[in-house]
Amino acid sequence: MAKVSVWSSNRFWRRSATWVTGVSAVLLILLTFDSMAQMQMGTAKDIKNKVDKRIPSPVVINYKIEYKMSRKRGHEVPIIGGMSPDGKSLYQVKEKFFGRDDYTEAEARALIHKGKLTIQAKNCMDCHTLLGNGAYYAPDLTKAWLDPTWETLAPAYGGKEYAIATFLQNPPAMAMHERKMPNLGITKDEAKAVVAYLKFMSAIDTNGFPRNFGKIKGAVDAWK
Amino acid sequence: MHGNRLYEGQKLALKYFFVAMVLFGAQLLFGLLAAIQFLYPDFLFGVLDFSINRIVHINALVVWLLYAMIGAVYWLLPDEAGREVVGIKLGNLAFYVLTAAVAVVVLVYLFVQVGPGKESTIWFITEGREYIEAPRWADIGIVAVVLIFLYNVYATTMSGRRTGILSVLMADLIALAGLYLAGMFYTDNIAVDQYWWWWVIHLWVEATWEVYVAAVGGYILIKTLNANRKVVEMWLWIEVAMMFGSGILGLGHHYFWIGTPEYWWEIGALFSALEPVPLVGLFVHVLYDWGKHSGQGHKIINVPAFAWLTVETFGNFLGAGVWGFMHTLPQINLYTHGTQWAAAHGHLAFFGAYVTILIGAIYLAIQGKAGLKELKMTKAGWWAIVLITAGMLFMTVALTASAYVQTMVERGMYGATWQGYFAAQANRWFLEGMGWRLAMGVVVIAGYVLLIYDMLTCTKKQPAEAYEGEVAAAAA
Amino acid sequence: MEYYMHDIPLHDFLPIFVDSAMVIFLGMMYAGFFTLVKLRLVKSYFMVAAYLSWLGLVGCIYYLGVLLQVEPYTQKVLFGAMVGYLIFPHIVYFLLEKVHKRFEHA
Repeated sequence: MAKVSVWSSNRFWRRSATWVTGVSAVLLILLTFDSMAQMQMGTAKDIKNKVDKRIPSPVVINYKIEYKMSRKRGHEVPIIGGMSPDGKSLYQVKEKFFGRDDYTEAEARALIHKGKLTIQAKNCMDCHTLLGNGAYYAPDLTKAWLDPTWETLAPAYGGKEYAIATFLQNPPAMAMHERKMPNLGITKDEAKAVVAYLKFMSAIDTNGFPRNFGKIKGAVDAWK
Repeated sequence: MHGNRLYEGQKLALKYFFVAMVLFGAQLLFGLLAAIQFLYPDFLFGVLDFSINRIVHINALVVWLLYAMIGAVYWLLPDEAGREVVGIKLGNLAFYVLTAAVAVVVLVYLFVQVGPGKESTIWFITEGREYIEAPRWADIGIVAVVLIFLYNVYATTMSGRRTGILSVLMADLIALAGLYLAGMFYTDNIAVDQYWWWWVIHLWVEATWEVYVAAVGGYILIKTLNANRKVVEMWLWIEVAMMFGSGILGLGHHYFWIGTPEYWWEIGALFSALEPVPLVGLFVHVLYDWGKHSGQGHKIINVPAFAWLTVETFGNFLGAGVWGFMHTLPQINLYTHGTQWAAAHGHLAFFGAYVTILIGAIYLAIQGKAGLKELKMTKAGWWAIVLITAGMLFMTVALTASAYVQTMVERGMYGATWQGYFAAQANRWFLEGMGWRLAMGVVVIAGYVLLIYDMLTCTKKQPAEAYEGEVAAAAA
Repeated sequence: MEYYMHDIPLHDFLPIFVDSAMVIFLGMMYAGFFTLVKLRLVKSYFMVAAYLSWLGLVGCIYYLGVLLQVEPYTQKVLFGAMVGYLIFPHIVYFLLEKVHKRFEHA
């Protein structure tokens, strides 16, 4: 055969495949560097200086956390320690967590470290979703700290952190639904750490997920 | 293949296939238990909780697919390279080490289940990260075993014939193995945790596994249809370009809501629109080949393998294409993320893209083992393919119905609160979907039983002329 | 912010899911009819069906964009998808012809 068309040249396609793969991989790596920088966990200093972080410092457990619509960004965002008139976190309004609102950075970090380990050790992700990933057998935990369910239970337990911690230590005793959470042998310390993690996780900026959190409207039984 | 004389590498492949099919059974069994618990939450409560059944269900899936993948490579490696696998003794040792490790990990999942919130749990009981729950000690063992496997692939190919299929596999397998390392560390930052977790999950199932399947699919086409090798190998490179080109940055569609910067919305939306590209390419290609072949009266040398390959084309298109695109754009994913949509998509996509083709590869090995010139489909084989495929398809439809209700009630009406979650789960139509899913699970299991029966007996039920090759080999 | 996420009314969810499924289905019908006509396996007037499928696909993508109230960036992506679907089967078929001619009839 005289001249081989480039379109049927093995070499051309091998090289194209290599280049496409290489360029995609390099782009992904560059984007990952940028994302990792933006996703680094904040510090107590950031909070003091009122610097918003996608993943804030664990000392957010000392503050009141809300989830509000941001006109500027077009979706809900976490608001930490009160909201300024222009819709930003003030990092001022505190909220007691197990009777304290002065956890140091080291204390708060130790708490969420234990909390995250417990969350993994108990296979939470194989019933629940966290940040929307996991199994679909039990409710999403992304903003569980802010869920209205706990607001209604809080008074009876002297605060919602106590309610959640009590629940975690023996879930069948406080079952909310016929699909019960099993008793996973979570200790008192582990329960406190998990609650700290849930509070910390609710302050992560998830670009508006879950949407319209807490909105209840329409005829809710229409589908029954 | 010359009669019954198999390469040692191919005998090793048969061992991998055997364990793969056993684990496939375990996957279906524990999936069934989990499906029952959706309807009857007290079933096995406190003994085998949903989380445990689901861990075994999804881990058995990943591990059996990997076993079958390694098996298929060991099967085609000596055949392609034209020589025995170099480190076969090491390869055999690795097989037994891996199988023992898998058995220990599963026993720990089932009987220890959970540990205290300490590092030791991560090392010895469970990592608690969906799909890659295997404890750290097992991770390190898996890496060691995979290194042996990679050594065998590289050493055998380098000292034998280096075909295009093997070149693609060599590049792909090293990426596949390397990506596992991205899932082997602990961090308190759950957003960073999930960022890297997706590197393993997405870059496996939507990039490196896809390319693996394209390479093995090419080999099956050569073996079942006598397809022209040069055409197959050149097309393989085009597919690699399309799959990696759309798949690698397709990672973006998992980075919408996990604490990642907003630019992933744009990247995710763009590459979600691009992901059907390789599927359309594959579809046109298959039609083209089928059209050309049907005109020339070619014989199909291994009907079951080819039939499963055909199911692959349509299953991949439906599972990855249709069910993927339904909820991939960020505007809609905001409402579907973390609902049964992912379950519906996942069931059909894993089945369509991977289960099908690996069963096809196993049928190829069954033919080779028996030394048959050709393999026809038996009645049991047809029933197996019909029951499993129809079961999976309708299971996905059932899950989609439930997913739709969940999106409407939980996300649309209630705004993703716990009250909304439970209202959706208790909804009559949601439960209806879960019921049909369970029924379809039983159908798939019936198909699995027939499949195993057929795999064990089909070579004895072939027409007499198929045995010519064997007789000739025995006489020689 | 360019990327404003609008609320999706409850009655729009079903059309969105059906519509996006139809996008992929019609894309496959277009590619399928196109290839079969090119291979002369069906009568050539089925090419009309191929392009009608593509027109249907364009309609579905447009409707999807309306339902999701997409912002300008996604509009461009969806527009690119319409054009991409139109030409991609042509490219694949062209390449297949080239490859088969070279290796099977050389």
